[in-house]
Amino acid sequence: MKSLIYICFVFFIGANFAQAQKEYIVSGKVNDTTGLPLIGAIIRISDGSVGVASDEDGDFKMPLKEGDYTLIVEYFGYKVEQKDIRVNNNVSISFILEEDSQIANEVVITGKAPDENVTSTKMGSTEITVDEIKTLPALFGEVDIVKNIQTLPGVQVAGDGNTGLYVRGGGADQNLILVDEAPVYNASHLFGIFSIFNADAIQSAELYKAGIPSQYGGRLSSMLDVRLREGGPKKFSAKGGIGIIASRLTLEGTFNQGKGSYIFSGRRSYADLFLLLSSDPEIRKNKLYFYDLNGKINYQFNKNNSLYISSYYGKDKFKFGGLFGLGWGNATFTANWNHLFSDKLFLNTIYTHSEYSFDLSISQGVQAFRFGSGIKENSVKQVYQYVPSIRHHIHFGWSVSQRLYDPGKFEPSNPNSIFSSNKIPNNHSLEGALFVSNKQKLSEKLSLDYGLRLNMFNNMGAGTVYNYSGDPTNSTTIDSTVYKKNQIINTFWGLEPRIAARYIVNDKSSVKLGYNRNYQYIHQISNSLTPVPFDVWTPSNNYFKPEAVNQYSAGYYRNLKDNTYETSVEGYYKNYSNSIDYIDNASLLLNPQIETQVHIGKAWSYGAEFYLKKKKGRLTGWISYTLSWSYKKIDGINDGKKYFAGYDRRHSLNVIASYKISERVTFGGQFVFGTGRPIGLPYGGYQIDNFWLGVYPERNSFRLPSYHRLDLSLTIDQRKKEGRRWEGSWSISIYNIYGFLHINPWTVVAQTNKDSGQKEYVAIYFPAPIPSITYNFKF
Amino acid sequence: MKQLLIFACSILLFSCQKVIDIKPKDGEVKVIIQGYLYTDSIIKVRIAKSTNYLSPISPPGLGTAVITLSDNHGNSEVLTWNPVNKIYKGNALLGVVNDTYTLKVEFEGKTYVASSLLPYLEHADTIKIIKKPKTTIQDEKYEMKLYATISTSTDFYYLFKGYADNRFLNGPNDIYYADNKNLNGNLNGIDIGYDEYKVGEVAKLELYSLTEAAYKFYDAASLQLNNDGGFFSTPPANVPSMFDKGAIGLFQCSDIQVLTTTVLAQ
Repeated sequence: MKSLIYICFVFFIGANFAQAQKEYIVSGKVNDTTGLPLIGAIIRISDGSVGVASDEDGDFKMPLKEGDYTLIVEYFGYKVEQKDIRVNNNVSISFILEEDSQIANEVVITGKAPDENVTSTKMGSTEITVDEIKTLPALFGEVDIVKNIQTLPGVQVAGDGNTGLYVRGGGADQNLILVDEAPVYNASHLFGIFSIFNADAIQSAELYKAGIPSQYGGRLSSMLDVRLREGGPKKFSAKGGIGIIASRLTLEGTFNQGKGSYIFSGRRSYADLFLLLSSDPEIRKNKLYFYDLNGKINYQFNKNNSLYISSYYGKDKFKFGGLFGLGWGNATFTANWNHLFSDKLFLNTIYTHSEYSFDLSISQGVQAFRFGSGIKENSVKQVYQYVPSIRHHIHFGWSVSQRLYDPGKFEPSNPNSIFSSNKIPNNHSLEGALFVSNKQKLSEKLSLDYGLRLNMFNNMGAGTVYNYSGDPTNSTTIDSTVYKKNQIINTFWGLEPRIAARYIVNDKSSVKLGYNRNYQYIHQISNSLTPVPFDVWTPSNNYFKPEAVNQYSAGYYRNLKDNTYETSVEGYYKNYSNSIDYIDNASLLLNPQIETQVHIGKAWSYGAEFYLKKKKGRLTGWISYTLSWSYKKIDGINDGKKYFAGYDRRHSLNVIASYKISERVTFGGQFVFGTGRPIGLPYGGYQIDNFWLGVYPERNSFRLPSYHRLDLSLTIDQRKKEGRRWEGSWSISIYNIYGFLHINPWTVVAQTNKDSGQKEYVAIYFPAPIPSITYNFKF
Repeated sequence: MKQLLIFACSILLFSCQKVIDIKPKDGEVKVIIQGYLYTDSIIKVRIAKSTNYLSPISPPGLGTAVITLSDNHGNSEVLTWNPVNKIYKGNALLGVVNDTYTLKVEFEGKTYVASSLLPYLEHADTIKIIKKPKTTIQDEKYEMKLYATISTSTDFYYLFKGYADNRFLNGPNDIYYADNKNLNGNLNGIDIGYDEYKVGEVAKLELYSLTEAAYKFYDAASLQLNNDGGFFSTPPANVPSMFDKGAIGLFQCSDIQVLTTTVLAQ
């Protein structure tokens, strides 16, 4: 292993030795006028050829050759600063930026260079900030960054009001969703109607559909990197919102002369609070709510050391009288220590804890029971950044993750219950990775971003592996092998290369090519289109082989009118191995032999994505169009013939716009169109006993009608008054404004009407139109 | 529990439904075979072909098949077509617990075969009809409770059919079936699902033993009848046939117990 790393390192560094020149480090800090560090400020030289972003402490380091330069510093909501410098030695320089409300109102800066989509080697990644979406229409008035991520090219949705992401032909369990580096295993509230991300606590979300940085791994299709906001810049401030579904409150500020900052944000829905007004005690017993809490504390110990801790905790709770109750929730914790060894070497040491749990119970009667399942993960990661010259930016490091999978425990919940206990044994795994990558500037026009990630995954005991006489789905169990605690059941290795090349055509456009390979060693046991709270995860084992994907992509990127418009066209082809699908009528719940319900095969997807974004001016927004195909071909399913994946959509169009009518009034609109997704629907029927059953054709062979809807919103800011800290705004939103004319079926079912006895096809859809009003405030 | 989870997920989903006019592409017409053999009874078999899903009438029983029933003792008989009921009936071979039967159907040039054990049924103790007081969400009801002591060391599968004064209570989408997994054996008044009794009626419960294959057939059928299109639950699919060569069929061999009681005012 040592020699492998050495060879990689030499390869990455070696190409630069021959052309090494005299270079110096320009370092410094970007603060605001109160002394708070500005994170993500862009520091670039005037010709735009070199640029960096300030880190969590506002620090930056930029290697430059000897010469005279003009440094320009930009940050959202602040006036642009520039300074002339002469570089003939290492230079230290600081910037203090002044707030500029005019700029903040007119310009959207995402903490990145305005032409980064053209100049960077990144492919298939898009960032959305909360500032960009807060005036857009929102379902029930809840601004939801995941819903806006769903409007990006290459991302498909399952249906109205659903937060599942289906990226470039991948399943909903193939997305690595991170909140400040901690993974989230179920990012939904209310069965997916809302995501767990409270917009007041979120800074931004960046979706990687390809070229996921080598320090991240473990999912096939995408990474959604959600960053919580940092507190400040004022000593104390508060903001919040009161909506028809939920309300929010965020408190933030600084301490110890600005060395530290904090933010705490909470949100709770309150449908159940209205039930308390009922005179009926049975109704008052019902519960139906969700809540989430976010907290983050940053602290700068000294010039070279800073730490942030960040945490999320959220729950959904349903209780229907004495009948039954269910709930689920996530908890995450992140501690991230940033250390600077020198001007050229930085280290991030990150510990994360994440857990997800689900529970269901009936508490009364002889059929009383409790059921619970979940997953827990602890991870440690060290990421080194080494910047030996302006031509190289190297990341390397290691990570270890330990997981506990609880597939389910079923037990009686009172002494009279007819049930016995049944615990499906827990699974355990230990996953490690070594990674290295380099962003290398080969010439002024050509840059590469290449890396390797070496994974090792151990499926650990205690555990029982069942052995079969043949294919587990149609053979008998011969015997089983029992493994002791911490005994290795399986070990899998995977090498994930990734490379992206960017060629600058001119100062406005570039061409990029990319390839990446990813492995996924944990699998969500889910046979429904959209993940549900009781879906469980299982590690790769004798039967669930590691899933893998190869992705090839190419794109053309062009910005127009001084980066006001950002455009791109990307094409991709992906092929998956060890893709999982389930037998007809699979039985997954509390099944200790899940392997008897699945088949393994291949899948592939391809498509083209078109993106136009307007970033400046009164009118901002984006248009995305995706043309795509997603197939599976798995022996034992659909007679071995290829079939459409359940989330295949041929066309997908999103038009998102925000228009600032005046200083105080902003109009938002969103139009969504998509080809219907494929489902199974019976064409034939027959009677057995007194019930009518269907004859189903090939899997996913019926295409639902096309989906389209229009959402509108109006945001009105309260008039500002001199000396008044309180600022308020009203947001009025209508989701699916013409929903009464056109229904968008989530699905269609064939059924016998229980009253008339007639057979019918029934569309099931989300109610519409849905108006909402929200009052937002800050002080 | 599976039904409960699906119900929980479907609360929001099923708030909006609308019958729509769509026409899935026609596909292959399937041969449908139903065979029922109960303890101490002759077999009854119905042969039909599938029709359009929206067809208002059930496809007729077809009398052009040659059907043979045999057991694991070497006995066999050819069934007789009954043109009145449009079914085939056995003549002398009666169902016996723990015997294995093979049903061979020769129809339109193909031969379809299914085999099944006639599994033993552990008899239940009794049924009672218990008054359930009115609540906010439902009126006062008289519901059936089943009392039994069953073994849990071996897998058993059951089918239930409920009657009130010989009126069949199962709705068009209701199949009541169970297995003994996760049970402690003391069924001290479980709710089967029949709760529409009136005082004075005679309540009857028929209990049938099932093989695992027949249980899976009913389980898949129930999933089909109560599905959400696969959005939150397993997508509906063809039921697992107990016959080979592409015929869709059920060959149910069952031991039966019948329990009755009269509904009293409470």
